[in-house]
Order: sequence, then structure tokens, then C-alpha cells
Amino acid sequence: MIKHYILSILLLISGLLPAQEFELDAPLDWNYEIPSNDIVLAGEDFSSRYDSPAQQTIGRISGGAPFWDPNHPAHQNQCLNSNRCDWVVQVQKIDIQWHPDLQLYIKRNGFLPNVSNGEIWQEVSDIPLDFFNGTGETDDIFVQYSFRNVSVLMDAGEYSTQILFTLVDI
Amino acid sequence: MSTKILTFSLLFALAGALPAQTSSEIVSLLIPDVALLAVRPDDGPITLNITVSPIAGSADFITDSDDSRFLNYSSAVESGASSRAIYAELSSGSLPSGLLLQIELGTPSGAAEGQLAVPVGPVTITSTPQSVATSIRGARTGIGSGNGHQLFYSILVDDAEELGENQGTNPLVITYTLADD
Repeated sequence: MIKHYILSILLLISGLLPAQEFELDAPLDWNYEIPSNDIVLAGEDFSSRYDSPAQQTIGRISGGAPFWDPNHPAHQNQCLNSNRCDWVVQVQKIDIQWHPDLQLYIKRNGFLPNVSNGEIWQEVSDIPLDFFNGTGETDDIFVQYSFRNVSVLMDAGEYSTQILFTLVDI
Repeated sequence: MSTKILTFSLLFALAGALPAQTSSEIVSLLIPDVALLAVRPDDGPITLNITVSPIAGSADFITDSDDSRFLNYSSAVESGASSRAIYAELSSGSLPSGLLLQIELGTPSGAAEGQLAVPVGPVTITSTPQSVATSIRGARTGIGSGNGHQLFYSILVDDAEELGENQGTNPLVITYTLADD
């Protein structure tokens, strides 16, 4: 009887918990090919830095309303009482083929009232680092990438890495 | 009472164990092969003179040399591909009989960095491409005079008797090529 009672409570609670998500909208992936005319004069190196479009990746945070509406009293109450409406998105890279001198930077573009940080270029590393944080739902999180330290001293060929975004409750 | 405590404990445990949610995408960069080569400064032809010694009775010749030019290059090579060499050839004109033209590359200087060319030493230039430096992979020399490999041109007398029959100016074109080793 006690077990059934506990199980029922757990199922009820798990159904009420907001299904928080950080989703990536199209266009996914960024594949950049340095143009063959990037080096004009013999003796030069590559431009060193290549930036993606400012809205290369568009992400959104979604969950179950009203807990994810920052202006809704229920959301505010939820945040105050359980501190489960604030989140942080962490970013890391998992190299597929990489060069130790090659650097990848990332930043967030655009103003969102309930999202903070991430607007300054930061290097993406192999360990998860806080990228930006906020509260509630939001759309149109614009993410931009930048390859840095690109040089002819690296072998020609393709370098790729998987970017992993992790939404963490705080 | 104990049931309530157990329930709340489980709730807190559940709240603390909320799974982190992840999304991912791939970013990639393609670095192309690069093979660019230039002689700097590019300010007109080099003139090498050869004259007979003014000392009476002497059969010696006064030969000339030049070290005013530098070879600049940029190279990016795929992993596993062969390294590159610099080839030189006499692509236009011909040397007067009895003379030889030698080219030698200096050691890298200035802003040169990477897996740079290894000079092979003095090479007598002919109309057949010959390697003057080898073992280039990912490298850049920097631009302009003072960067890269200094070029040493020397004109040598090979057969003085044949030389005596020649006078005047012989324009020559030396072509350098950066290609697989």
C-alpha cells in the first residue's frame, strides 16, 4: 500500500515536471571551406579567422507552460519555491578530426530579455563550460561560430568536431 | 509519518536527478591544398656580367653573381601526401657556349615558419627542371625581400675557348615550380 502510494506520487510529480528542452532549429551544422584564393601572395598564410553567419544556429528553450512563461505567476512561484526554472546552457566539443592548434569560438547574438551572457566570444573546449543562462522559454537564440588560428602549418584536409549543448537546471 | 518522510525524500531525490538535455551539431573546416611560389622583389631582370681580366697576359675571366632575390612560398599539404620540392629550369633563352649558370638557395630567413624547404646546394640550371630544395610541407615564408630563401645566382666559365667566340647579351628566363617531391 505504501509502495503504491509513493509510486503514484512519483508518477504524478514526474508528469508535472516541465519537459525542458534546448532545441536546435535549421540550419544545422556548419561546414566551411576556405576558398582557394584566400591566399593571394606567395608567402602569406590564411586569414587565420573564419566566422560563420551571425545566425548560423537558431536554438530555443521550451517546456511546459505556465512554468516556462517568466511572466506567469505560476512560473514565478515555481522558481521561487523550487528554483527549477532557471537554466544554463553549457557547451563543449567532441573532436572527430581536429588539430591541436585549431581553435573554435562561439557566441550568442541578439537581445533576449530572459537570457543572459554568451555575447562575448569564448573558446569551446573539450570540457563543458557555461555558455549562456536564463529563465523560462525563449525562441531565437542565435549562435555563431568562429574558427581561429587557421594556418597553412596545419595539414590540408577536413577538421570537424561535434558541438554539444547541454541544458542544465540551476 | 515515516511514509511522508520517505515520499519527500524521494521527491527531492527526483528533483535533483532531473536529466540534463542535450542537442548537438557538427562544425567542420576544410583547409585546401596550397602551393604558391614567387621571386621577390619583382623589379626587373638580374644582370650577370662576365668580362676578361684587364691584366695583360691573363686568361682569367671576371664572373658575376647576384643575391638580391628571395623565394617566397606558401604550402599546405594533406596528411599522408608526399612533400614538395622547388624545381628550377631554364625556360627561355640559352646560355652562351662555355658558360654555366648555378643557383643555390639559402637557409630560411625572416618570417619563414613551418616545414620549410631544405636546399640541395648549388645546381647548374638547364632546360630540364631540377630540384633546388626539397621536403616542403605546411609552410609559409612571409612576403618580400628578406623573407624565405635567398637566391644566389652565379655565372661560371666552363670552357674558356668557346667563350671567346661570344659577345653581347643573352636574355634568360628561369622558371621555379613548387610541386610534389
